[in-house]
Amino acid sequence: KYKMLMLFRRNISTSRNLLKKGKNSNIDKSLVPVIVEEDLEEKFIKGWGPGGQSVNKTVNAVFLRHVPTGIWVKCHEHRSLDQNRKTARKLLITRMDDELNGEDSVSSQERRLASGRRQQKREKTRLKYEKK
Amino acid sequence: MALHLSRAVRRVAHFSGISGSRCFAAVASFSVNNNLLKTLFYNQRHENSDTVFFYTTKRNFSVLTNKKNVPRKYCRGFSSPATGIDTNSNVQCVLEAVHKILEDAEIPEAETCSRYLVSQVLGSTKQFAYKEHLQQKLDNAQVEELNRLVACRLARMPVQYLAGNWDFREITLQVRPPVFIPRPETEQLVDIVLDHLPSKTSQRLLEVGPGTGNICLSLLHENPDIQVTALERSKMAADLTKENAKLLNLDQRLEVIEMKVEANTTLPPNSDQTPQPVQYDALVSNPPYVLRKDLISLAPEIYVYEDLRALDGGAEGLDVILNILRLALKYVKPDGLIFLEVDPCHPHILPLHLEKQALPFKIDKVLKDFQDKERFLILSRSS
Repeated sequence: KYKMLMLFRRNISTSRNLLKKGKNSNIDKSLVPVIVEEDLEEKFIKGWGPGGQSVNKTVNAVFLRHVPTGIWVKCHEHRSLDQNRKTARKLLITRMDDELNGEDSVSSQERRLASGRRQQKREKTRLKYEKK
Repeated sequence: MALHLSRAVRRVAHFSGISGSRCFAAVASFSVNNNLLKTLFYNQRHENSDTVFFYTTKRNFSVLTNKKNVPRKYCRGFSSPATGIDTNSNVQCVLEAVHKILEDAEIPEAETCSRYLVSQVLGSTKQFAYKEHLQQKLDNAQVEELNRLVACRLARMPVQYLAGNWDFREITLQVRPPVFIPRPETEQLVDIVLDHLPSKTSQRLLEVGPGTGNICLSLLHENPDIQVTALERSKMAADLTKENAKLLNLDQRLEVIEMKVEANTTLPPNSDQTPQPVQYDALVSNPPYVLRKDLISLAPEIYVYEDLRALDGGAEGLDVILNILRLALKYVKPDGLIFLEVDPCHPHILPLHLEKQALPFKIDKVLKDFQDKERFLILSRSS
């Protein structure tokens, strides 16, 4: 469908974005799901009436569903509809990563790393005060 | 038919710090056509009476009715409703109170609006910012501001005008009445234009009717190789576009010319007095395209506060569009594209008009908006 293609012809796919970003190269991102626009179903608030110039609504929530898995997200954090659509895709990938990859998801790895770092810090502080 | 004036909107204008006469330029500009005025305000008639109740300013009232010095008896007092919001309630209660007030007054989108207004007095533009302050109490200044915002919203002032700024794609624009508020459909128009422009080559674009500057400034922001010349008939909109351009640091690549596009319009000559040549690679516009018969059913947020000249496209909604195409004939390169946002009926009725008016353009593509309506046209010169 036009509206979905249009969003991503110029932008790198958000999956690849997730692969590129990341402070820590220790995180394995190879399992992050890649979404294909054809598998997505996007819905908006109903009751828009004639639309266009005749309507002035501030409610611009986006409901995005990945049809093969049935996983869906809602995004209405931005005032711009376009930004909501882009953020919805990022949220969907994260949600799918968490549900499908469980322990191996990016967020699980990040949590393990963070708790690992916290433990290291505690150890360091403990050793520091033991020496005194 | 006796017309009663409500001071509500003058109060609103005072509250919002906008000069009353500027708020309602749109209403005054239709005073020459009284039939239109009567139909516009027809559904504001009180039940069982011949009186029409509508919001306007004292100045416009005298323009509309040709009365000089409006006598006081025509002005009905309006006092802000007691909101019951004070410094003793926490944000959670305040939010619920605002929601109830708006809902009882049958204000559309009451829930979303209450969130935006409460978050606004807490200093944020994000709808859900209030969640981080649920147990906090508002101070006196915040309570006063919130009461002002609620009073204005009860007078149907759009949320975007209350906020003073709104987001459009990746940029934030200042918005103020009566300049037309960008609609979400138009965000897609920017995508369409960017997709059809060759990359990495400098392009000169012509825009008709920038309004707040949402289209041209988004294009300039997302593509560093573009230059835009924007033509705007309203001084207030032209000033706002320039202001937004400056705030976004995009004013170097944007030229705003205050002029109206009519059938035989020519662009102002160059500084050396030579006429402007054909030089634009493309034209983009979200022109007034609402059909005259649909203007009647607009919400008060639109017909009171926004400039109706930004909406009224004439009987078939094509008046301005056809003038834009005549302009394109003169100033857009023969292989250049024209990008328009239109009413869903236009893809079907425009070709006939193009033929009748002997305008050598054809519709290359018709694209749908997120509501699945045919909203965008790409036109090119037909040989």
